[in-house]
Amino acid sequence: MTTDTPFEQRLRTLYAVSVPTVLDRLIGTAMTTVPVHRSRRTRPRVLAALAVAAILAAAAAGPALEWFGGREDPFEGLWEVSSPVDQSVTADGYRVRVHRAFADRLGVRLAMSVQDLDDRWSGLEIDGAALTDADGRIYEGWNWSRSRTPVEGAIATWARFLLPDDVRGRDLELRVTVTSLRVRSPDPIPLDLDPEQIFTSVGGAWSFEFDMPPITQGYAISPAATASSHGVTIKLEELGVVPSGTVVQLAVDGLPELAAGSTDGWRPVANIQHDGETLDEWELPPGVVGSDGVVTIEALPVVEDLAGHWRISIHGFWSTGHGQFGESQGPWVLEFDVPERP
Amino acid sequence: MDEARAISLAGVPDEDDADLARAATEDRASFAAIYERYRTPVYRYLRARTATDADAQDLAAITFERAMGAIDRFHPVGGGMVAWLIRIARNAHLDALRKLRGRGAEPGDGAEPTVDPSDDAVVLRSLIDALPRAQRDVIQLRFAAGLTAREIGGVLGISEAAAQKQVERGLRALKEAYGDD
Repeated sequence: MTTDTPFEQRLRTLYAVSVPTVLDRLIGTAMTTVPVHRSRRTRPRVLAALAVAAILAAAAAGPALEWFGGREDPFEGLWEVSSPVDQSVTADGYRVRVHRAFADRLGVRLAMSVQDLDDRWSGLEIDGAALTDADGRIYEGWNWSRSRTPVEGAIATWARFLLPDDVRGRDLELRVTVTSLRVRSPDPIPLDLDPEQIFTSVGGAWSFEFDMPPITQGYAISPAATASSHGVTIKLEELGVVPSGTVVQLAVDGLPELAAGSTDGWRPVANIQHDGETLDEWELPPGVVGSDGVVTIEALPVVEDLAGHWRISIHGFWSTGHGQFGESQGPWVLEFDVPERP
Repeated sequence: MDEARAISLAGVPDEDDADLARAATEDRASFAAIYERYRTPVYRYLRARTATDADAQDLAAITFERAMGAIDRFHPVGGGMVAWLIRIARNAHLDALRKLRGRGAEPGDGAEPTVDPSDDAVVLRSLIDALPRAQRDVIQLRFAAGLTAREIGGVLGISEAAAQKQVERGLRALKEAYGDD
């Protein structure tokens, strides 16, 4: 039953458009190309093995450099501040390039592209890459759908790998190996083609060695902001910005204890606004309130200037094994102004 | 098999959002049920905010693609999955606007008529586009996406009561401008 007034019904009619069927096809295709990304806590080895790199399908031909040099959010500006690598390896007709490398507290990012030299396929994707350093550390790949971008003639991506804790500030040689490419059947895909056959894998070892780029430290402040309710206190530890993202670090005290030995944790459900604009937030691994009570949240877009009015609302917490906490106790709102830098 | 057909035949199982998200995390094909359930609110919302069908289509594709990549992080709080998807859609639209502005273009934040271009529809559209941004936002969330006040609150990061108040305020302003008092 509707309680809309005639005027409200008119508004609904105004927007009552049909979803185009071409969108169904686009999403159907994406379901075969976007890798499944399972929780790091439940499938750590799967993610580490897949190691990221990103990726997507592309059609046609043309330079990936244009994409990297452009302003594809959220990586606008990363190209300019990254270090050149400029290496390529060709095998089985596929040229893999590492154009540039960048590192900050949010990880190592590699500007990579793959080109099918024979233009045999309508799409490509990198589905296996591993990053290690000369000391044997493994940099966990962190898949991120926004790093997948088709460009003319190649695929291009800012592949992302997380920094091990003990690597900060050290000069190291890195080695990245693309272990597998997937190539997509050319369009139009026959209607009777088994979906499992849309992509086929091309194994290989496109390997590159280069120096770890300088780790950009960014800028961080610690404005005084605390919110308490129902015995839970949330304090802003740090608000920072690096070229690849905005970082909010919170200290949380008073959350219900989880079962002893639990590998789970409380994940904040947050809304971050800067000067009225909502930032897209993602928890950084481990993504949960740790034993030290601290949780770090990555937010986008990159805030060029931290100055302004901030409103960080924590609506509650979520734990896979323990459900929700805070819907009736919260929200916890941290609201503060950051002055212009002198 | 025809992908589009596979989706349209998938149907919408009577599962809650958390179950849908869990299933899609384990098996990408299960994302079809999420798409089937929420494609209309997401597309209509984006169509209300864009100038052309093609723009809305592109942004809807980006929205669901981003949702696929992040489905394991979905939390069934704050307005549920529809609010979560609309937030992704909203951010995708803002990204697109920033990109256009970065290229020197000055896109209209509003949209042109998508229904039969009767005078009434055109007038209503132009009046909605002329509303203050916050009011226009809630009108589109309520009447294009069809969200409840609780879901609007989840999108905007405000309480259900505050969302309802904003909807009423936007409606009042629109009615006044339209002369429907």
